Amino acid sequence: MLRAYFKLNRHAKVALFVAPILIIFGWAAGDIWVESQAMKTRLFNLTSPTGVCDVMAKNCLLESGEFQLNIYEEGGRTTVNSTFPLDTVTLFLVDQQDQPTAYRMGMKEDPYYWYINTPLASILANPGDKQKMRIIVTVKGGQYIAEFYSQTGF
Amino acid sequence: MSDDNSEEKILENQNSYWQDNLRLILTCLVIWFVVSFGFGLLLVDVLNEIRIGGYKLGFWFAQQGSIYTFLALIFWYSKKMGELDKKYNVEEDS
Repeated sequence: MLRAYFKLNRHAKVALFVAPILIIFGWAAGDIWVESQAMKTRLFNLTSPTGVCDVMAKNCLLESGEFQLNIYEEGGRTTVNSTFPLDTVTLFLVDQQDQPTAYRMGMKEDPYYWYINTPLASILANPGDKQKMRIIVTVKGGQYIAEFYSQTGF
Repeated sequence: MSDDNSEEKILENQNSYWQDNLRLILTCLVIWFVVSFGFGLLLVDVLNEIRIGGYKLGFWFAQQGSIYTFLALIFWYSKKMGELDKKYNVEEDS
């Protein structure tokens, strides 16, 4: 290997010597740039691909590109499961006067699962029951927001 | 007088060789920047719309494409410098 290197002409030797320095410099500069971009707050809208949301039936998917959120209700506990690790999750239950009540979720075991106890189980107990909700999720400076209705299936 | 002339010519040759060398280095650096920062970071979203072999093009450039280009640049630079050496009669003794 070393013998092959010494057989190269002087320009190839210099280029092979300089290339790793440029790669390391490029990697460091790229990292700084990506980090600075990640610090900027960006807003994304989450939408339901099917247009149907039923948290009681564990059928409420919201997405934005590759980022997906699954929201479901189980035993009085509302859980959010995502495809990427999340920093914060806040769920809002909006009443008929359009007044939101905020529920700041806590992390379950890892940043992919977040939960909180909510009255959703009683609000959406019967088929046809409907509840307006909003969610704000932060991921590395990016904010994902959605306003949606959950309706219990018949 | 003739010594002065030849000295001037050598100096001119050296300058010209250095200018060509700098131009080549600058070309390499522009390609290096476009491939690594341009394709891998700045234009990544645009290139990710294109898929080659199942991979998003922007992602592929950030992970592999830029390295392949860097390797190709090393040998291209070496070849072009070899040609410059030949042009200015400053080839390496083998």
